[in-house]
Parts: sequence; C-alpha cells; structure tokens
Amino acid sequence: MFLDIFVFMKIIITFAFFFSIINYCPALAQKFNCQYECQGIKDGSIELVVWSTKKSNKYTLQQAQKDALMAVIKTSISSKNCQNQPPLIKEEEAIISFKSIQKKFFSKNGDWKMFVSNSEELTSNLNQSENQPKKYKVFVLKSELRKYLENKNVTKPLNNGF
Amino acid sequence: MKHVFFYLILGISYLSFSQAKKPTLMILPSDNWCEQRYFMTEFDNQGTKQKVPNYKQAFQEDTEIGQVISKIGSLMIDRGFPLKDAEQELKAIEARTAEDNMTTSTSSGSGISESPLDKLKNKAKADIIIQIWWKVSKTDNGKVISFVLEAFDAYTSKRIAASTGNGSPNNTEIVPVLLQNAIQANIDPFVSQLQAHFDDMFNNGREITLTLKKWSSWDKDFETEIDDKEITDYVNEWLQKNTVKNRFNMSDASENKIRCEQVRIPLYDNNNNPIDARQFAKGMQKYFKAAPFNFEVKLMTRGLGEAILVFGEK
Repeated sequence: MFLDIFVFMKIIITFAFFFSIINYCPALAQKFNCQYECQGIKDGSIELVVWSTKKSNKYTLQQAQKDALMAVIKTSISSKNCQNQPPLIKEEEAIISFKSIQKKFFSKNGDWKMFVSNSEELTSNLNQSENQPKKYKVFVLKSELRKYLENKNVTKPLNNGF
Repeated sequence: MKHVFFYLILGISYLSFSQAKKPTLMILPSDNWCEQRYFMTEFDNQGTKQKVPNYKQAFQEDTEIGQVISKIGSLMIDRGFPLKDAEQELKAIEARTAEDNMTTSTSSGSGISESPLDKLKNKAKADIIIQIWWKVSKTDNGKVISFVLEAFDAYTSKRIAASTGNGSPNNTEIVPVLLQNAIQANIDPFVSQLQAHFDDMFNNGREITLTLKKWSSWDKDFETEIDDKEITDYVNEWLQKNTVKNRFNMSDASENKIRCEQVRIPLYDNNNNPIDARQFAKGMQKYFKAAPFNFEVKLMTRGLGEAILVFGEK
C-alpha cells in the first residue's frame, strides 16, 4: 500500500515536471493547440521545439515558425537551459501596438521570415501515424526581432528617455 | 513674426529632446567571487581587520573575468546602454592621481588642492553596480555553470534587477563557451527588470537619499523654532511640496541629523532641465538661505542619487 502511494506520488511529480517545462503557444495558433519547449539560447537566438497535439498532420513548418515567433513575442519561456525568458512585449500599450502590425507582419510576404532560421522537422514522415505530433526545431532570432519591434515603435529600447 | 516662429520651433524641439540624466552602470565581480578566488586585501580599520575586494588584482590575474565583462558589455551596448569599464576606470584614477601629484603652479609652485574627503571619494563609482558571480561545478554528467547577475542602485542600496540560474551538465563545451551561454540565458530577464526599474523611475521620479547635518559650530539645531515651527517641520513641508506625489520617508530625525530615504524627485525641473540629487538639494539650500532663515548651507553629493546638506557654514 505504501509502495503504491510512493509510485503514485512519483508519477504526479514526473507529470508536474513535464508540464512545467512545456509551454502553450499564444492565441495565433489555437486551432492547432500548439506547444513548445525551449532547448537553449545562443548568440541572441532562441531554439524552440514546437509541435501541435491537434490536427498534427496538417501542422506545417511555416505554422510552427509563426507559432515560435508568437511565443517569443508574447509569452514567458521557461526551461532548464533557457532560465525564465520574459516576453518581448509585456505592456498593454505594446500589445495593442503589435496588434496593429501583426496581420502585415505574419502575411505571406511579411517580415516574420527574417526572424526564423535553421528550422527543420524533427519527426520523420516514415512511420508517422495520424495521431503522432509533428515536431519542428525553430531558431528565433530574438535579438534581431527585439530591434525590429523597437524600430517599429512597438517596444521601447532600454535607453529610452535618457 | 519670423523670429517668433523660429524661437517657437526652437523651444518645442528643445522641450521634446530634453532627456533625463542617464545613470552610469559598471560591472564588478561580487565579494564572494573575489573571496573564493583570493582576490581580497586585508586592512586594519581602527583595530578591526577588514577585507575588501582587490579588483585590480582580479582584472590582472583572472582569465575568465575579462571575457565575462566584455560579453555583458557588448550585449548592453547592443541595447544602447554602454557600461563604464571598471578596469579602465581604476587605471584612469591611478593616472589622474599621479598627474595631480606632479602638477604645480608655474608662478607660486603650489600643488593641486585636495581635501581628505576628495581622496576618499577617489574610487571607481557608478550609479548602478552590476555584480556578477559564477561557479563551475564538476558533476558525473559534465560541467555545470551556476551564474548570478545582480544590479544594485549604488545610493539607495536597493537590488533593482537579478537573474540567476544553473546550466545543464555539459561535457563537450569549454568553460568560456558555457559562461557565454549562461550570460545569454540570463541577460534578457535581467534587462527586463532593469527596464521595469527605469519605467518606475519615469513614472514615480528618481529615488534619492537626502541627509541633513549640522556643523558643531552652528548655534542652532533642527529642533530650533523659527516663527513657532521647528526647522524639521520646514524641511518636511519643503519636501512635501517638491517631491513627486509627496513621496519621501523621514527615517531619522534628531536635533543634529535628518535622514530622508526613498525621496522621489522629479526627473525635470520647471524649465524642463534634467535634474539629479544635487539640483534637487540645491533648491532646499536656496530655501534655507533666504529669509526668514538666512542659513549658510554646504551641499555635497555622491553621484546622481545622494545629497548631503550641512547647516551652519560652507
């Protein structure tokens, strides 16, 4: 009986840890129910693994790249390798300001493409079952994206006002 | 009419480009880091043995500190906030002291005047001190870097930003690369908190410390009554009128000393000029110099954030 409780507690802790490092994508990709995990930060870019648990076969690399960008722009990202990364936009004013450029930014020929690189699918199409999530590795050029948002007056630089 | 228009444009552009005084930032290794690597100097402070970090020795002898400071410095430049270099500042102080010692007037042979207080103040300083600490631990799975990045307001002693974390065990990368990765992972949360501090400063004013003292030769003290009110009450009234949202905290008030902390001063004066602790305290100095007080008050400052007024004489 004691052993059962111990095993149960272990499962709970494992689940809690698993969900603490996995983050949910912001509003842009709700139809795909996307999730992401931060793998590391290097030279101003952030490496994310993105996947969708819903309609996983229709989840494309392009959609994963857009979701990764939205995650970096709007959500706090936490993992062991990435610490707690704050979102690029936090203030209400900046959120409203970004909304005004969001459609153009994520359009077919929008600027979003400039801020993702070295993206690839991690899961092989062979042996890919209907329900298995498609996972993508996406590098978001966070430093460049921050400067872009500052230039577009969405966010303000650290030296603003001085 | 043309002139009026010209001056109007000039005035508007002046007002729109007026900017607050930029605080200076400097990175230093933490005391604990210096202690662990034996970069400390022991001295006798009136019978008590005291240890202080020997930054010069740390910069000259440690192989990692230069890389870490340089990396953080480049990331801060990228954000439009260049840092004061502590190593260069220490060298500049030494050069300035040597030059001052050698400088004499051609006519009388007189040297540069320097009070004991000037000598004491002749040290590397900045308005915000960024302290770094790290440790490389060896585990079965590889090297693990623990990293702490903290910023302190040098005058209020408040911690204004902090980021800390442990990297994943790594066996492939060398220590400088692991350190770079640790900095990259910590810099954004750190800068985000620094930004919050600056935002608070723009909304609620710059926080300073104001201390009022008296010379022992002064024939009055802060409890002396003028027109039925103590001098302390006048200080209180003046601060209520001149602080942002009346925010200040008179933490100590005796007949000899008044200490006000968390004094929120506006970033600009009535003419839209940026102000710091000195300009703010100058206002109080003027107030007490005028009737009915007619006091002589000496004004001293420590950087942008601390002002000391000494009543009685200059």
